Amino acid sequence: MKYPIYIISKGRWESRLTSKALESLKIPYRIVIEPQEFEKYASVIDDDKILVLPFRNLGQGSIPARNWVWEHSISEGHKRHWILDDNIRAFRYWNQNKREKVSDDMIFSEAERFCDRYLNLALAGFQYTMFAVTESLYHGNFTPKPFILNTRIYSCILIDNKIPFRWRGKYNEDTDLSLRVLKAGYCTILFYAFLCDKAKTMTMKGGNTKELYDGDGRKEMMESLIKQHPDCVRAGKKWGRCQHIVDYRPFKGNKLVWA
Amino acid sequence: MKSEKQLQLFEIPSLYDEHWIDMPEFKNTALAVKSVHVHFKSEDDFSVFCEKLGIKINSYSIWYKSE
Repeated sequence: MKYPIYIISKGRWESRLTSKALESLKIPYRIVIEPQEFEKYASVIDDDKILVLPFRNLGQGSIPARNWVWEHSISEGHKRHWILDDNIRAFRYWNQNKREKVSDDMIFSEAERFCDRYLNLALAGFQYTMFAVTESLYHGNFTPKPFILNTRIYSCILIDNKIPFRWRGKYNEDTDLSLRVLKAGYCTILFYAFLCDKAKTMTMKGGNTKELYDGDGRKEMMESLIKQHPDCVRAGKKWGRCQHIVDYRPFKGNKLVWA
Repeated sequence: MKSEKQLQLFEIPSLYDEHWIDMPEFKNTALAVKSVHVHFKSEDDFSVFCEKLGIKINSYSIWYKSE
């Protein structure tokens, strides 16, 4: 692998799903935490894999940590960096109608190699395993593709350090960043060949669950994204809850540029 | 009139043929030709449906003529 992997984590030293998954694959990573939780994380993860943030409890979700990671990777001279959520159970390679768990860093290395072929590929990431099933296998009119171009990238993201953007806001930061890079003419790649098992939102303790979802959190999240991108986001409902609906069709024309 | 695929002067590679080169194999096929959702207004209707087809349904989906 060429690029560093950072896991941003808060309050999840016990579950630490992504950390466990990467440990089992012997993939190097660093976990980024707030200082008040150092002892707890250090009791279960080697010190040299822990990066302690120079701030705590800013009340802005994961945004400050994400931007700190970005600058950290630049300071180490990297061209791209991986930023992973802390609730990913496993990584898979989808082929021959099987979504097999990987046993090494193959999908990360291949994703990096693929991305480095292009000059304007801002974000790339792995699709959630659960979506690879429902969108593809049982729909006769859908031919599975190894990747989807120019859509949102969540949870397990390879970022080009040189793009002129940073994480912002408090909510839906991944959708917001995806939309900003697409509007600027960059491309994004969502790999379907490479998958990750992400725990469902709100099913785990820790993270920013309480901070963001309490009260009218969902509605505020939706309204915040509509305010940021009124041209391609609208209000909707999914499973009886407020849910933003994003139209990515305007970005179909963004073409990959070979390096 | 039965539609036929129009001949092209040049073969235009798909996005995936053009870009998924020297990458791990990706061969996945859609397993079903058709899938349908069937909605029931009552448990009785559902029972009659299962009885007529001679099947038991205890999950969200089943295969017709599955082995």
